[in-house]
Amino acid sequence: MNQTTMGLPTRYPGLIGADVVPLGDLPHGVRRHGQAEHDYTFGALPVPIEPGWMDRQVRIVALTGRGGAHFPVATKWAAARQAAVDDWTVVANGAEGEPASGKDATLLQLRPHLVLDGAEVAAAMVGARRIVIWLAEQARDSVDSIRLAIAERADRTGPPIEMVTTPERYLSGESSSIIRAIHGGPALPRTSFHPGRSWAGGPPVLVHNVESLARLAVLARTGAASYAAGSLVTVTDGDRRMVVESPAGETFAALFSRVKVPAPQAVLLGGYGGEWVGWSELEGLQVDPQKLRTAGRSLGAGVLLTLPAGQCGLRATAPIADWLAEQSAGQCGPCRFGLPAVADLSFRLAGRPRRREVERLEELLDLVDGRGACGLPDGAARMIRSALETFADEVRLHRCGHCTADQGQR
Amino acid sequence: MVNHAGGGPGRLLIDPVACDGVGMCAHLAPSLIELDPWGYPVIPTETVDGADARAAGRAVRGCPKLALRFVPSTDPDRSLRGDPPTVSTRTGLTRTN
Repeated sequence: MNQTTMGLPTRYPGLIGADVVPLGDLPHGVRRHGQAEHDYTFGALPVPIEPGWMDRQVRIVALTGRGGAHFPVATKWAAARQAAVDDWTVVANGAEGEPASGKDATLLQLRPHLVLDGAEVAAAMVGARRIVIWLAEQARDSVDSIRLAIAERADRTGPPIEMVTTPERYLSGESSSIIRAIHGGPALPRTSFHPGRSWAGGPPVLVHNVESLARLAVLARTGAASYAAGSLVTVTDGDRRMVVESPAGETFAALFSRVKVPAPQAVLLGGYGGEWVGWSELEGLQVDPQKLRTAGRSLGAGVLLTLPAGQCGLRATAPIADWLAEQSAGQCGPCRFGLPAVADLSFRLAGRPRRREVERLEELLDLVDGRGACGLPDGAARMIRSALETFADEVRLHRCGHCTADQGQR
Repeated sequence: MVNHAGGGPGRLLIDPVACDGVGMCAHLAPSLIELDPWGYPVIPTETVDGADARAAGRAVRGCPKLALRFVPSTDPDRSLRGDPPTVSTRTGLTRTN
């Protein structure tokens, strides 16, 4: 079988083919690829996919999952093979519940066939008989784009592709929620006592984020040798929101300069359950999942939310903590009761906290961390702990009744 | 499910979705289980053995919500990876890979 780069355009166009895609209003020349334009741009997907070859390519480029956890794709596939079961369902997870992220929606709207190609690649790896595209029902543009794309591929062989929509909430994109829903239950997280077999208790389900799938679709064409690694990120700076494809090797300083975002005070890296990182630490790091992991950080779902200079990080943190508390499904006691208490204290922190309130907040963070079925309480704890650390000077100011934001206005 | 805690080493795990904070477990295995401010169990020790494992078995059998499990250290399901039972990642939700 010929798995070379033959037929591929000499210049790899990137996943979304533009340097910067503002959310909401597409610039001239950036538009959805239908089937014909998709084939013209990326070349035909080599069919059939040879699983052994594909597995090697994924290992060579060390592809990680782009839903947030950056779990190695090869490890996930190895666990699936080890389970020695069949009747797999592959799920393309496009339910981007993270409010600060827009990369998955952008991909679904501009490059639906790249996502569907990737789902076919994943299906070939486990011999799946069914592909489900999992979307939030409120994401009308993504739903329309995928519906049209499925219709455009009516003549393709391969497993049937169906779209399943779910009410939009933070937890509906969580992988155990999806598995529970595919098994016929509610789209809410569940406890798994079976590491490596997260689907246990029902038919096997392999869930991949849509950007992971789009990268698989490109990798299946180029092979590891010609694969251009990179990451889709969503940059939010005040009212400006944009999706950017960051090529391998680019630093955060270079990225921010390229998209004309002034150097911030700090960045919320990864998402609402990510970490505040001071700009002095972040600017020299590369926008690269592996490099960030080495530096003890995580790109998460590719969210980069800026805290501009002169603003108060504690005032930015409290509403996020409050939002996360509201997103609790209420299934697990420590999350249901702990997160609202944590959010209350975060608002105290944004005002003039007493010393024992700061200490109480730290105690509660230890009490909610790791005690839910999903990672929601862990993420909230991580985000608030990072605020206490990154904005430690601000905490001292607030203890004395001052605030950076107020001083800036004088 | 596995709850035959016969004294061998293992881990006591909570299904936080099933748990309603009844608190029976903390009465049955006070050496192993504490309750948080909202009445939900906290298990500070990773691995339990000997008399503790027998107490763990009592707690497992006594939970009215069937929310506790004792997983022996030799269970192949657990040895696949040494991870904790809940999905925990560096970035909040495991939004799938």
